[in-house]
Amino acid sequence: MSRHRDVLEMLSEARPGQLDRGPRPLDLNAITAYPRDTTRRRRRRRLLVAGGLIPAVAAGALAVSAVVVRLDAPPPASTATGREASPPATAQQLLLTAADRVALERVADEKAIAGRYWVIKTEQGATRQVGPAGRPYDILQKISQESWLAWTPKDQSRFFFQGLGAAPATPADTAAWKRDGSPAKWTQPAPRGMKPVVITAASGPRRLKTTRGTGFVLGGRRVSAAELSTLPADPARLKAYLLKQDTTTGETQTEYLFWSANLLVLDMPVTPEVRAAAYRMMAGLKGVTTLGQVTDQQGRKGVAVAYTRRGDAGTLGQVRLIFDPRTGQAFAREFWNLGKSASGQGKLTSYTLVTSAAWSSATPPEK
Amino acid sequence: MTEPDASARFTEMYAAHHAQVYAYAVSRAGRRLADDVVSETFLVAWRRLSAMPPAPLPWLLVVARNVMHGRYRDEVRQASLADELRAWVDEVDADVADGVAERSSVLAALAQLAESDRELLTLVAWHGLSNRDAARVVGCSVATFFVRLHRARKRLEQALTDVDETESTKEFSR
Repeated sequence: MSRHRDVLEMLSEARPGQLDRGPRPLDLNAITAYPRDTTRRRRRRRLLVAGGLIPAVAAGALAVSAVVVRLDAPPPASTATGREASPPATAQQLLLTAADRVALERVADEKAIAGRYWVIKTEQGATRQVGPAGRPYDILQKISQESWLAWTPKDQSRFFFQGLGAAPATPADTAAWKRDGSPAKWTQPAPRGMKPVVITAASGPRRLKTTRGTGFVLGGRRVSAAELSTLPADPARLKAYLLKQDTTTGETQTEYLFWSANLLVLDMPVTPEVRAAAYRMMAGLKGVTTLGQVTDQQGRKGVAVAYTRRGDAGTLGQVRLIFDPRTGQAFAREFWNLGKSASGQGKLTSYTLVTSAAWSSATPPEK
Repeated sequence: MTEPDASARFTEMYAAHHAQVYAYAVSRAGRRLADDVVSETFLVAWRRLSAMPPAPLPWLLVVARNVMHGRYRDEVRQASLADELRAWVDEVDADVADGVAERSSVLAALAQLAESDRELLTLVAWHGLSNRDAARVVGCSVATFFVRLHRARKRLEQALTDVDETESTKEFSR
């Protein structure tokens, strides 16, 4: 081999393609929903409270979704009796049926579109490892969020957060927590230069954050309400639109498309036609499977479709979308770590569920 | 900075740089940890947004670097990175294209260097940083950086010679 060439040049040419696969999609709203660090003391106090969930977002990678909007409230558990629905067998059939059903929402929407705000309430949870180094256990930390999302940039969006506390995730975790002395709070180390994060078992106060204008993130980019209203209602064109925003390839690309479609059906204020297109696009993705009937973290019944990817560490990560097969309405998203093989129980990493959503022209609450 | 400006700025910054932050995270901590590093880096970046300079990449890499050092014990990160370095060589070896032997040797040589050398070399060769920006990421003066880079380069050349000799011995004994 020639030694006349510069080693740095040779090194540049040997740059591995593995560097360019791109990260898992990140939910930017989940990040920007939290207060920023400023130099003012007063803000620091708030940060500590807010800090509770932040590393959870990081730990789950895709993790907790924040700002969400949907056209309608999800079905109450009592009406979602699985048997009458008799869902079709495959993920593809489920998704195509959901697309047909969701497109029927049109009439109801046109009546409602006069609202200034999407008012949407969600509950989000994240599993975090705590406890002594030798005997760690998992706790599930929950927050609720009420978002008043302004449709025009002239109005101010308001977000209300409330910590719902944390508790051991499973009976085994409860046992480990007792052995740990049943603590009512947990302290987590932070990266260098940051304060440690304290998680409390008790609920916290309701906090407000405001922003002007909307703030919807799709394809890793902030999109205006105007842009959302012009999204293609054709699955192939929608897919092309999404791919234009992203440079990843292979499995990561499929995951990105699944994730984006997930946002469109669960979180975004888009027309029923666009949501139908998102369902159809998902139906055409390789590797989307169904888990059949499931319940979400509040016990509401629906069906789940999932995309599973073997991460680079060899464990299986799964994103689930839960929806009502009769109406096509999505109402929850969950992230699971399935461990090394799909046959295992798996562990819930984080979830977002929508408890209510509606248009409103009312004045948002002050606090 | 008002809140809407802040989130718009953050979103743009994410769109512009997430791929580079990921690449850096993979090269320093391996793919096993890279996703976590990226998400935590952008969380810290959001919280510290008021400190973000107009050209944010070196600053972001500093944040990522601190996240890696603060979040993982060194053994954990080194183990993940060792797997990554092996995977690169293996995957290049499995490739039949031209110039593969050279790429494989360079990667194998890189894997043998001390981490501090590897960091300097890859910041310049893979992450496209100027010497000034790379110096900022590792936290030294530009003058010091030049000296360290020069040494790292020499050691890479030496390692490359060693790798090639090992390779030809292997060929020979077959």
